[in-house]
Amino acid sequence: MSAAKIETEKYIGATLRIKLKDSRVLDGVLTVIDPFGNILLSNGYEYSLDRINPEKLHKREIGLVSVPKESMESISVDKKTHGNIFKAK
Amino acid sequence: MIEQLKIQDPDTDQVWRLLDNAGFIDITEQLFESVRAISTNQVVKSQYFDLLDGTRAIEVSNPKLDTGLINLLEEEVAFDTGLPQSPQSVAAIHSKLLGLFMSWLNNSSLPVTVLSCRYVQTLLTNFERLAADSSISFANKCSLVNERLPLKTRGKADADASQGKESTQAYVERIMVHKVLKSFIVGLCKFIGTCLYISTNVLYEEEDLTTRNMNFDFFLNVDASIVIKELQSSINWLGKNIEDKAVSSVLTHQLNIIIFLNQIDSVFYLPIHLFKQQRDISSQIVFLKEASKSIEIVSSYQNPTEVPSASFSKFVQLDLDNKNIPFELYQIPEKESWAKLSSMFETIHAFVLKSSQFSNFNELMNYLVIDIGHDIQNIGVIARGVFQLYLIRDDKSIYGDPNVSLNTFTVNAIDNVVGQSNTLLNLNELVLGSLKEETKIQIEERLNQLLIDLESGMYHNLTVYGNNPCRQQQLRSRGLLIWDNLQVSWESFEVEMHQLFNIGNDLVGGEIALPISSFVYYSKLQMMIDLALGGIDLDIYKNFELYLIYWYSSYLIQLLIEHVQGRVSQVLIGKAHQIEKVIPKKIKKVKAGPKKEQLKASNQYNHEVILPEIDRTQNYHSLYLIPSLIALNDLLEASRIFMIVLSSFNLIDYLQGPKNSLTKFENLYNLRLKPWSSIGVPSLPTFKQYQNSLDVKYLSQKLNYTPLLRIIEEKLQSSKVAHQQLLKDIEENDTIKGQFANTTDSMTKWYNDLIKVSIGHSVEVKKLAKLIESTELSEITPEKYSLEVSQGYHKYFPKIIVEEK
Repeated sequence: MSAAKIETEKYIGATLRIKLKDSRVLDGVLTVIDPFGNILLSNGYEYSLDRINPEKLHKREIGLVSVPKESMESISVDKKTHGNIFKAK
Repeated sequence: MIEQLKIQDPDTDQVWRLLDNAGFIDITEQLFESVRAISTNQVVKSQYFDLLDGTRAIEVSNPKLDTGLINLLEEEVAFDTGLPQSPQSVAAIHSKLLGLFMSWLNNSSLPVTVLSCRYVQTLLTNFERLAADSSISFANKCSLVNERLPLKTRGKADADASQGKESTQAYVERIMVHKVLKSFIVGLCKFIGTCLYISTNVLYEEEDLTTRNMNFDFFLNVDASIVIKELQSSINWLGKNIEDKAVSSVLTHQLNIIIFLNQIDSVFYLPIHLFKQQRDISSQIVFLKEASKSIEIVSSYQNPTEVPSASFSKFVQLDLDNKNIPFELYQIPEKESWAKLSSMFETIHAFVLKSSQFSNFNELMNYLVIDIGHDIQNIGVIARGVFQLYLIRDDKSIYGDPNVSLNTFTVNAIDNVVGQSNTLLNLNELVLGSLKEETKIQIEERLNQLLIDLESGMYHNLTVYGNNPCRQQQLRSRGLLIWDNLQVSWESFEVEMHQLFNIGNDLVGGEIALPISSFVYYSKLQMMIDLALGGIDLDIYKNFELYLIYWYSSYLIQLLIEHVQGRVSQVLIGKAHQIEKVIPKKIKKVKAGPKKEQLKASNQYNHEVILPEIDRTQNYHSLYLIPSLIALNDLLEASRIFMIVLSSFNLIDYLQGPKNSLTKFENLYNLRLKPWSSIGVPSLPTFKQYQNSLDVKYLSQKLNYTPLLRIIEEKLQSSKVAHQQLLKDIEENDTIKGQFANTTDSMTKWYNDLIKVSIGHSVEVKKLAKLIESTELSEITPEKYSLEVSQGYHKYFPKIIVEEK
């Protein structure tokens, strides 16, 4: 088993914040990832501009979602999670 | 790192900027770099996650699957639920909501029906937000003001009102929304909450009702009386403030319908006394009748105004928590929704009223089997749920009668088949007197457990009737195991009690009678037959399996007839013999004293109550039960023999199955009869017996067909005559008609349909006879003739027609 694969496994279970290309942001737990970078998030929440009042943020639960790699602009994690993933390096 | 993120378009980054991203670190590159090491066709996943569950994941950014991408018109997004509306407009919203409510009950979901209404969404959202705040009244928690709308676009009417600038029309239109429409929605949602409660208890998710509620509890914990009070207050206000009498009347009736819906659960508090003369309860359920009248008035109102533009949309799907894909809005035709709503009230009214009119156990059972069980597909889902809760209550009483528990109901059921005076059900000192105390306790403990098991079996049977037809079949299938186990345990108990202690009922010759086991066997056979025949109109069986089902059902019915004519009849005669001959002799031998007096009193009761009941049971069996079973069996046999004739021409093959079958027919035979295979008695017929029943080698010449066709005709004729006689008896025979007083219409239809089957089959048999007579047998081949199997006059009997190609 290669080191890189082990490293991928370390991301599993982390709460990711994914910025989508259409401006929405998703929070959720990384549950599955494939070799192409497509992701399955559990307990997903979607952040978007409130359609009724675009000055405000709108949050809602969307559950288990698959996120194609091409729809993602960036992925980030909070500092604590980052520390847990990368501490072994 | 977050600082390193490329911010290309300030507009698309607005969400990101509004979020508190302090402390977040970008890992895009590292994560995507790491996955390059994953082998093709592999994934890295959480050990707690089953990949199969991944199939229900919703794909983000796919417009067909992502509710966040639902396109809406600007006016749909910005719809202001707080704006005043005219009475006509509110009446239109009410009617639309009632239509959507019935659409939900018609296999749809709330998000695409009732919750697609912005008024409903706003009100429920506000209530949920404020539910815990005890300083706010219930009415104020149910606000229709959308606080999310920017202040500048909402509340003008409210502002005018507070500054005293409001015109009369503006006042009326404001109150129409913030009082009348509000109370309507609260009432409707409260009843939706009731439906969800019913569904949780007795219905099946998705199959009967989709309960997806978008996390709203629909006022589950709010007392219905509070809701009804709000509705009454609105009705009073309408009477005083709406000049247009036509619209005022319609609005009032709409609110009344909602009140009536919320009164449905009052039927659970009606005092029902089964099988006894009781006060007419019609006046207490008159609201169920009035509901239909209100529906008629509302449905005939030609409203010149439509619902406010954009007040119904997919907004709720993209706005609230949603783990589903986007769905189109759904509404059944208006006419259909009114008819279904009316039918719901009428059905509930009918079964509640009937529960107060049953005069005996047979009447109740015939009603449950025919009116409810066989007609269940015509009963709406909520009426069906209410029926189940109405029939068996939380405390396991039947119809809420405090005197009819599951235990008494079970005893009633036993008495009804094998007569009263079952020794084991009446163990007392007279019976147990000579036994040791320890033995008495052991016997009582064992008996109690067996009775509890028997009650469970009866409970299971009672749950069958109100379920949807597919679940009925599943429950019957499960019931076979329950009743088979009951037979084993009761038989051994009765035999043991008789052998060891000489306790139990005797036949005339003194042999063991086994009354309870006889009842259990009777119930089991009934369920086996119901399971076999119940699958026909559900299209469970392929055409090539129909012969097998008729053959097996006919075998079971013959066993049931033998059982009732044999053992059950002997048990009844034995009981009568005991009362008339054996007990009086015993009494004579007892010395004068209290015991003798006790026995005499018991004997008098036996003569005055038990004997007439035994007589009534015997009459019911001989005048109705046996003839009805024989008549049904004749029809099954006629159909079966007709199928043999068809198979002799290879028009259908009941021994090969489908052409491309991958397995032997014997395996298909065993598979089809699997639900019955675990039954000990009666054992499953062997495949060899099945094959033998289909032996058509002797049908090589035309003249061989003549007797066979004659037998079919005779059976069809005898079935028709017997069913006609049964119909006559149900209506005219004093001994019989009392058992059907509440089921006459449905029973009449049941038997009329069977008569039609006899006539229809007879026509087909004559056509086939003519064909055989006029054509060379070698010319009647599958190449030239085909079989058409289609829906028939009765659920057990599809039409089978031979057609020239």
